[in-house]
Amino acid sequence: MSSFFDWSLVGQSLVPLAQGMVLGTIPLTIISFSIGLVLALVTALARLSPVAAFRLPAAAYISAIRGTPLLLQLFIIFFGLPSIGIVLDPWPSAIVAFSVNVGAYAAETIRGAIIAVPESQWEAATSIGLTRNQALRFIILPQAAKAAIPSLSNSLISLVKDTSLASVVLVTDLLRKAQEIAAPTYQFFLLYLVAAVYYWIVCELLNFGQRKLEKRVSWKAAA
Amino acid sequence: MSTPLISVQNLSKNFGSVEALIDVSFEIPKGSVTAIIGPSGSGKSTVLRCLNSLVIPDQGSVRIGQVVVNFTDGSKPGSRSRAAELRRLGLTTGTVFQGNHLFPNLNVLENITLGPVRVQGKSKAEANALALELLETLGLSDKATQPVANLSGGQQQRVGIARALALQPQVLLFDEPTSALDPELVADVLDAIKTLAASGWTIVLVTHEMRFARKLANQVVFMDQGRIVEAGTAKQVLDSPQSTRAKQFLERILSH
Repeated sequence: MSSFFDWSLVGQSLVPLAQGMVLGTIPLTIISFSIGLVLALVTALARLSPVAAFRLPAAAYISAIRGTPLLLQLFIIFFGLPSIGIVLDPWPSAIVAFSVNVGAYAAETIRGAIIAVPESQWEAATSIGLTRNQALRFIILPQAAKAAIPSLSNSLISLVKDTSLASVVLVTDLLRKAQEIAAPTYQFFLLYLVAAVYYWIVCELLNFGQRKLEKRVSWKAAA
Repeated sequence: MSTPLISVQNLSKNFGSVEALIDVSFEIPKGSVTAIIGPSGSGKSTVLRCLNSLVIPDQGSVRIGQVVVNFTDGSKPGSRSRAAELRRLGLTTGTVFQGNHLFPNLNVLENITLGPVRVQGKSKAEANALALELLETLGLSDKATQPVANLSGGQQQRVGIARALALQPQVLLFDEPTSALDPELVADVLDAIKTLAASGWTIVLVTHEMRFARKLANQVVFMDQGRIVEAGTAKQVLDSPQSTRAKQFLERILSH
């Protein structure tokens, strides 16, 4: 019975776990979120388009992704696609799965934020001669972006933790590192706790960043 | 008499089953001030919004300066050529809205220069110079770099005027420009409009300020239930209205 924790293992694991975080979890999050945001913006605009040929595929995409588990989506890409001849490595699989997943959720956030900009802003933009695209770019999207910050921050913070699912398709992220170190020593409890603290710290930093960002786009002068 | 700057013929517009405008026709000479008055829901704002293309009439035609849009010519409402026509018509007008509708994500100067830079293709420097000049005339020179949220309602409304003027339109449209303001700020905006009228701008304004209309307007149009009931000089319409409807309306609004 290992009733005693091997505390020295904590010290030894700090650097490898940090590596898992910096080389795995963080880049996976940043890349997936960036691609996901672009996907989300395109999808949101398609959802708002008067053209049904844009609107319907966008709605179907959002519905399918939100209606199925993320882990299952990851499995379909990594374990399922090879049977139809599409073989992706762990990293590309994970990036595709997370981008597509974030894209669907963030699309709804962005669509909601665009709708929430008062109609009068569109009218004022039209009244000074801006085209629809110019109005979107200079007036509507900047205002929508501000409104979307809290919700998108939520998505980002969720994604940091969701990337841990990538460990099941063999991406060496923070969680997988912890498992690799824990397995031969049976110190799962300790290693998982350290991993949890790492996740928590990263999310706390993002939380801090969110508040900073919200302050910066408040549009009231710091006179 | 020379050709009027604006000529509106037989405009009709339905919103669903509501007849917002019924066979509305009028002409506006260059350099004049026209006040459109009437109870709420009478179609005053809709008329204004047909001039600046925010509302597309079902029937009739609108001409402002050289730009003519005929809404009964059978061209498809959503077509590309119609959209271009409407944009050209809209650009002959500058609109000041009731709630000013400034862009909160831009500062005062950017609000004014966005149109000149993006629509007219002016250089930033040229647009800035023009905007600063306008701000100077409107007594807001020191506010150029402020976020609009920092300004009072009256100041915001004057920025709205500067934004409309910056595109050098042929006519200025005011949609109840003082209705959303505190009483003490109303004078600010009315003074600004008076100055514009004196410097020769053609102005069409929807207003509830009857004393202002009487002082400033060359012609007054009274609307009710989507129709023009009476039109004439301010004196004719405000002091000796002919229709019962106008009499009732003016009695009620002037009685307190």
